[in-house]
Amino acid sequence: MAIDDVLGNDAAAVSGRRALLRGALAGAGGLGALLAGGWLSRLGPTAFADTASDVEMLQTAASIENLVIAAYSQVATLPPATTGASIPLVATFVTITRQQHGDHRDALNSALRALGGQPQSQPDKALLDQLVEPALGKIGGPGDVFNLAIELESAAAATCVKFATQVSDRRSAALLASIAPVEAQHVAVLRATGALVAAGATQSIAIPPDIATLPATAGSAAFPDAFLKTDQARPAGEGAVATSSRSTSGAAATS
Amino acid sequence: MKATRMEISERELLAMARELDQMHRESLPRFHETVAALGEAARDKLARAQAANRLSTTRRNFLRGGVVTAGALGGGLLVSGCNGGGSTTSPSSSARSDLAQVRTNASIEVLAVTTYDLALRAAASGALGPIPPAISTFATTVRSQHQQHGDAFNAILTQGGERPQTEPDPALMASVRKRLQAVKTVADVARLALDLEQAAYETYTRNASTLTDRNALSVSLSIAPVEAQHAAVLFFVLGSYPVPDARVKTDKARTPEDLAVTSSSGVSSG
Repeated sequence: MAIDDVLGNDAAAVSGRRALLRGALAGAGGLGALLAGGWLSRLGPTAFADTASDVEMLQTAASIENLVIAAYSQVATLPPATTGASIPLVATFVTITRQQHGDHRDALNSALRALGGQPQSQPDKALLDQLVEPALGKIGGPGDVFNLAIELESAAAATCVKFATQVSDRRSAALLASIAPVEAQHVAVLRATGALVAAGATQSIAIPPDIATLPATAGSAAFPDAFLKTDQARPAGEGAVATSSRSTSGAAATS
Repeated sequence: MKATRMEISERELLAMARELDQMHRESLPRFHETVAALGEAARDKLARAQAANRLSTTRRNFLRGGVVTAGALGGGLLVSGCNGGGSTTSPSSSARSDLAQVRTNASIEVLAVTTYDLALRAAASGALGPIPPAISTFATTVRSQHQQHGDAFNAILTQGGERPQTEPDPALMASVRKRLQAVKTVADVARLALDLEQAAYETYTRNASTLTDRNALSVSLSIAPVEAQHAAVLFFVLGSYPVPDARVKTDKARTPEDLAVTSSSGVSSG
């Protein structure tokens, strides 16, 4: 199966973006190797949910980080006027956030090694198919980018919170718990920025801000809920490395 | 427990309350072994627990709250008590430790609510100068969310057979009072609020290493990200990058020892 068969190239308007995403994913570990390993064909949303181990949960968390990194990498290649990156703070956010997700991925993979598990170099394929690919095909402005990023970051935060209560290894729980609030902060920034853009207050998206002119919505848009919801958490085994494809994935990780 | 729907004497009520409390304590360890992660049901349970907690303001309502909770939640600390029986062991050390940590968490929330109340009062008096609309909205919204967080932690305490925490972390409260006396601007208050929010989310994040009860941990970890979001906005308001660290540190986390030491040392909490 060719990569384009999965990523799709029938719509000319989105083919460029998909090619870029494909490149980003390859940089993150190699989607081609993922497919060659047959992992996709065995993917099921709850394939491991009932018997998920600490290793599987950490691998799934890492797979989400891989996907988020790839998505931000893709966004960074789009025209700034389309993504909102023409606003300097937004461009800075994309850069720093991608680095922070890289830290998360590395920490999760270190935890996996400590547990004797295999690091995860692949993206969460289900999330890629269900969310990222469709969204990238419809990006028409900054709001679309913000919404996609909010969805991804929310899924990452919810997954980390949920897994932190389910893993048996305390160090893994502590790691996941230390990542979730940062993902939630990313969500907060995206929500607040989106609200400011929607309010026509792009001049307020700067550091330091002019507090006096910030619209009232800036004070609450970042945290609409008093408790983080976990309904967007991904299934525990969704991004697990299939045992039979370990050698292939391992090769991909070094490619 | 059907007797709770009948007219009963004060003496009987007290006896039943003691019995209910004892049942909670006896079966708490079994709860730890059997309860699964809250998952998607957590918020519903939490809302119901909060409702039950609000019913517990009188002795009669305390007992009624227990029955309501037992009948409606199908899970949680209190229901495990009502389902228990036969065991005569005292609460395990892990259960006591968990409840002590949850009490510490609740004390931080009480402190946060108190602090935002004081700040809002200072703002209303004009002591902080003109208050930008975004700051006003922020303080009001965040204060409300901290109240909900405090209710959630107190629901766990009351389900565990303990009294709710109504006093703020005394050492931090003393510090807050001192700093509030010196604030002159919105930025001064924002710096104070940021310190509190960081203490809160670092404490709840550290709970992942200390709490044994998954229910309590689920609550803590669902709150920590929201406190971190509050902090992100405060960082921004203060002119700093809103997400300064890739991972949450826990060096400012509060522990039950902090609460116990400062409480016993006579530091004023009022």
